[in-house]
Amino acid sequence: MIRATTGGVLRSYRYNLMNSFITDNKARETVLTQRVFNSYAEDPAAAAKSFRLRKSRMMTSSQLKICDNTYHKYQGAFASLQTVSELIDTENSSSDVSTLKDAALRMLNDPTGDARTQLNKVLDNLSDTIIQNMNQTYGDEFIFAGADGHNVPFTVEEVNGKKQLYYRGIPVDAAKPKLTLNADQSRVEVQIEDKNTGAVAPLDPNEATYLRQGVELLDASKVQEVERETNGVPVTLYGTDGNVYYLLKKTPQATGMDEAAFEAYMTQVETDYRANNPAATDEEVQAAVDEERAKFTETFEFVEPLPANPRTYYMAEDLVLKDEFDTVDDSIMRDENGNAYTVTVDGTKSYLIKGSDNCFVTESEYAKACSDAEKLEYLANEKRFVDIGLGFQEDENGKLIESSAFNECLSGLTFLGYGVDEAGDPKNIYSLVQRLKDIAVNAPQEGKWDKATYDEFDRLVGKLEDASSEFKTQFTNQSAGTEKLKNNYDLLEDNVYNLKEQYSNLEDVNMADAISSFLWAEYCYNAALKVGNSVLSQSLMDYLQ
Amino acid sequence: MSTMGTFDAFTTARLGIYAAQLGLQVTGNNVSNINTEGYTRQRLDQVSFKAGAYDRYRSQMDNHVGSGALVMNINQIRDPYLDVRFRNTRADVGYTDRMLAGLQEVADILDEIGKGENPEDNEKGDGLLHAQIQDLAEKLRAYEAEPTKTNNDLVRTSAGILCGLFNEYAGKLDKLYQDTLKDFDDQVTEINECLTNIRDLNREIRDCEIYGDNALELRDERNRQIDTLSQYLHIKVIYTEESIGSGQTVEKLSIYLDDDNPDKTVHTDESMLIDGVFGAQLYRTPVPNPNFDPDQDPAAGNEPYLDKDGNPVLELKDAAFTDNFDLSISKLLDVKDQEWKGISTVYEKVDAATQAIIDALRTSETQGATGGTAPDQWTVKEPATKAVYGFNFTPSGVKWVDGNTFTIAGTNYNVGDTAAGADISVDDANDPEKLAAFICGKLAQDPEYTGKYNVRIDPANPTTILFEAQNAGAIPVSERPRLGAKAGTDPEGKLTFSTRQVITAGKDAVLTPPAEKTDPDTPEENAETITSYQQINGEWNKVSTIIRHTKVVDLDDNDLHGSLQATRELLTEKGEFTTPDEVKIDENAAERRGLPYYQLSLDLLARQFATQYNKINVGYMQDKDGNYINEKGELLELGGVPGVPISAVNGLTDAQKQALIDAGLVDKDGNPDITQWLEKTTTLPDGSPNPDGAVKMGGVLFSNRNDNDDPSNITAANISVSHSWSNGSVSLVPTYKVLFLEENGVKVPHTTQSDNAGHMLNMIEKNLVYNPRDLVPDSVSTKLFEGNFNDMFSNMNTICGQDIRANNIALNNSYTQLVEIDTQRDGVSGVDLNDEAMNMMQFQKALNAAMRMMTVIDEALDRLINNTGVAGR
Repeated sequence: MIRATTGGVLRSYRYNLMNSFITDNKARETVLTQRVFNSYAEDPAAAAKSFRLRKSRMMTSSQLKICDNTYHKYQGAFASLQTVSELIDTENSSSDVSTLKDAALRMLNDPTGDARTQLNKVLDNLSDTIIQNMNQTYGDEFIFAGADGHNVPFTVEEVNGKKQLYYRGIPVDAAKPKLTLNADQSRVEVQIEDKNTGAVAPLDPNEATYLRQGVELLDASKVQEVERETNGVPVTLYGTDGNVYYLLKKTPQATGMDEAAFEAYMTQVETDYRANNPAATDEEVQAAVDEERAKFTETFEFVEPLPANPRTYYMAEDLVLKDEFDTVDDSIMRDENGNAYTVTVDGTKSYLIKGSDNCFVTESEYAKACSDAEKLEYLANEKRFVDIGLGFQEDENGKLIESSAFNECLSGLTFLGYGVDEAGDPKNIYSLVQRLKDIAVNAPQEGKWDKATYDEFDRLVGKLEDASSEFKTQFTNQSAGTEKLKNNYDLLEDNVYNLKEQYSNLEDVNMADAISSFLWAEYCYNAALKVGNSVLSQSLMDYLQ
Repeated sequence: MSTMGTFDAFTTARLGIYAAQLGLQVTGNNVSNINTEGYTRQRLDQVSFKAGAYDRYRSQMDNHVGSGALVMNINQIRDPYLDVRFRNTRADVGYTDRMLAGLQEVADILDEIGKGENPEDNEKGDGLLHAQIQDLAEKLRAYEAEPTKTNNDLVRTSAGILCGLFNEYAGKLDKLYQDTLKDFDDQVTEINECLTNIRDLNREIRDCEIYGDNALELRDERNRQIDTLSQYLHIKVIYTEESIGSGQTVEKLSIYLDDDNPDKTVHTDESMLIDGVFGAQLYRTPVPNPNFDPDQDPAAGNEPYLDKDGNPVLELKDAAFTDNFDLSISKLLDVKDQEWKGISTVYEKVDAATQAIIDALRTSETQGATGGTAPDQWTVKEPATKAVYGFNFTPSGVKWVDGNTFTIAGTNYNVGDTAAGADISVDDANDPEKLAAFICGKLAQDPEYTGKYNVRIDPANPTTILFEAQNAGAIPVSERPRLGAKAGTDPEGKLTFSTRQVITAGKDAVLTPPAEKTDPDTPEENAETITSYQQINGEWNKVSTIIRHTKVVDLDDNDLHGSLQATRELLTEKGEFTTPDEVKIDENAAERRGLPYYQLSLDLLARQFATQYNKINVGYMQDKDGNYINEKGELLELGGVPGVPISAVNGLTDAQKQALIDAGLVDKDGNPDITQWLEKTTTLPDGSPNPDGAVKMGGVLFSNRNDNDDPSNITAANISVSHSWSNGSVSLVPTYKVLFLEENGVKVPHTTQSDNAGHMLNMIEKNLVYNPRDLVPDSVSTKLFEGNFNDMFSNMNTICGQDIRANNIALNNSYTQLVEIDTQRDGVSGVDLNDEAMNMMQFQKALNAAMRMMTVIDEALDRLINNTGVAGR
């Protein structure tokens, strides 16, 4: 610069003083706000990162709340399951009869009527208590209701005098019925055979009815049809041997011969034999005649008075002993009209042995049972995910990636069991108890149980133990879930602190640095002010006399 | 010895006193104005003065002494180069400063650093919108965990607050836009004031200069005005000399825009703003009326502009402005609003065709006769006349005698006996009338006159020979009869004619040329040519007068630089929302971001948010596996793709996609859109619900007003919680799945299933593409940003922050430079107290010395006059 003027010097001074003041102000602002930057413009990258970290902290805090909530729900579940577990089976139980298992075993081993009655009540109460526990709530939500937390999950209804447990409206014992199938896996339909006409018709013309698997069948060949009176009463013949016979209907030669005709026939047999066997001895002839005679059964017609009835000879194969007929024929199932239920398995017509309760299933019943079983299966495995900080992401179709969320769904079914086992016995603890209870109620009040009842009771007690074991497994799984939530909670808490630390490192000033900078800026500013004083005062004008 | 007046020394001293006094005045003026803004240091322009001339008989021994000092002028000290640099830099400062201010105002609204409070530990800095999005996420997370009415209400409340924040930010941005718009108009007004002031100052300075005044103070003011103008506009100042006649010139100052448009083919960025006493004004370009005919004067029915409603208007003040704040520069007008004009006149000979017409009419004796075709039609104003010249023959008094000869037109004739072969008898020769008749007869046969003149004796005067022109029109002198000369040798000296008498003057016809003709815009733009004919020295000339006008200049997008341009960019630049038409004007438009960019970005964020959540909360009933079902629980199937359920979670099969495409059910990108198909199936052709169609569930959560459910055209300014969500008729849909729905309506409830709420929660973190075309359909970019809601908002701030940083750095640089240049300029032009103190002392001493000189001379003369030669007295 060739020339420095008063104005120029002052302008330069003002500019530099302003810079000094800005620096001072900036340093002061840093100390006051304790922040490294106060706008995006100061450090866009750090600002953006800081907001990301803060967002993560807010998100993690929020996830922490959900995790905490879920953890407490699981703790509530744990308490309920603990109680249920104790009600089912606790080795260290202090009470004499306080568990299902105990009660059942006692019933098995103390089969007196009074005791059974008492134990029945115990079983009933215990099973109800279990259900009550499984209907516990956490907040407004039923813990074990799966994804239907606003409705009570387990309900008990009385069906045909028996208590039936329902889970969300579905009977817990629902299972897909096992049907008797043909080799081609087609279902075996139940029909009815008209005993008079022999015509075969569906059980219900409007709905197919199928046969459950495991029903005993009787080969149709063993079922013999006899001649019947017009009123349906079999034509009964009384044998001279003291047996009662029925006349087989199918026999084409079912025409009996009276005594005279028979004797004439026998004479003819003898004559024919001698003619055919000229060398035969009399003994041999007699033997042949006797052999032929033995083929016939001598009967009396079924007329009163018997003695007045003539003797009649029938071929033995045309008659069936009444006892024998009744043994087979009366064991097959018939409808109210006396028509036999028939099934055709692989082309073989069969009858059903009596004693198979509930051996039919209609198409609608079958469909409902299948549907219920499917529902139970779905409900038992139902999922409901919450975001507890595991990532919570969806795939490109908008489907949640399950590993990124926590399935907090607790289905009562998985704990108490559902459906039936291979043997057709319920797997649900409550249902098993009800079955035990029913057996006990129906058993004779006095004396020991018959073996069959005892065996069945014993078998069901065994199933109860299996169900109890499954319960404990699920209980353990749930406990593991609780533990996972606890660990996750701790992790999230750590994350929150870490995130706070991270953005604090980004945003917060080192106060020692900030104060040093501020003091230096202040010092510089003061110095600049002092300089200003000298700038303004120095001029030749001041020295003019 | 040189001649010197006795009292010259007094004059020398007096001039010294004058100069010193003036110097002190200038110093005083400088000191007084030390704090006057724009004041330029003044300096005495002092020269040494020498009076008188050299002596007639100059001796080499003579020594000439000067006669003192003269003050020639009082000057300013300025460095034009520093002025140029200062103004250039000031435009840079103006631009960056205004841009920075605008962006900082955006940041004041959107930048959430240090704002917001974390309710957990009262720590500040979580932001407002940032935190509210996360608050919504928290409420959605709670709803997802427990889809209860209470949690639905909490989500709604949080969403309402979020909408409120969007509305608030949009409102503030709009207010900022309006303020910036006002600032823009204010700046235009200030620029125009500056331009007017400079123009008026130019005039005043010019007037002063003509009268010999430097008008330094006016120049200071003009410089101050130019400095002010340079902050708004980047200008180029040019000084030239302007002739004012008589060989005198004055300074002329012109101001141009300084060629800022990077496109070298554009020249509107060099437009003139000031040309001496003429000045232009800046104004926002009005919306032109497409039906305006520029060849006709603006009038009712031919309005040049459109108003904001699209109606044609006559006055500029009523016109609407173009959306992109285009500016125009008016014509150059002087203080009386008279337009600058450049006039040049060209004279040229008429062309051959016109000359032929003129020639044809020149001898016409018919008044009103015409030639040529309209409008180039010539008319005979006054008819032409035939010339008649007379020569009077006067006898010399000497008688002709036999044997005399005379010559006419080169032929000798003898006087004598005609019988003897003489041409004329002596008697006839001595009879003037007969001789005249003889001569007339001979002249009539002269080839020089044959066919031009009829030669005859004047009946009224038998001794006078008349030459009557056969054709009308003026006859050149050379072609007129010259009888004296023609008489030839007259050895006897007896043939004497009078001088040529003009009996009737031959005149050309007086023609009226075609009417003056004006051709606008020819031969050059913004000029008019007036064509007329003018007779100069008897010749007709074509006179073309070209009058050039200044024109209105419509400025291009990038023609300006300075704070006005920064304000304009703040008002117009849309970054990725720029349209191809705008890119044509400015190829860098897509990279420039002003307020509209931030407004549109915020709108896009709000719309994306509303669109996504509205989409999630409107759906169709599904079975447990996510397949669409009707109200009877039956799976829906697409026509042509039987037996394949339509899955909402596994995506469509290729066949299903094709079926939708075939049916024309595609989204705006041409992708198959199952939603359209589902929506169609919900009703039967008669409008009644279709029992076999899809079952619609849910409803929109966000609308463009809180008293309706209209989800269209949602912006940050209008986003609201929908009316139905507000009044509870619509809630968040936790799931579209219905478990085991049977024909009779029986189903398995799942009241806490919340997979759809999971979508909502996931949406908070989902990376979405923000497509500018969702707001501006023809924008050049299809992707503004990809990320979640928070990231998008953060990105807006990051971009703003980066722009602020860049402008801040640029401002610091240019401002530092400006201060430096200004200081340098001050170093040249500024008043310095030390300097002035020195000057003051110097001039004071000079004054004292001059006065002392006066005393010394006085004493010396006193000695000479009063005390010399008195010795011995």
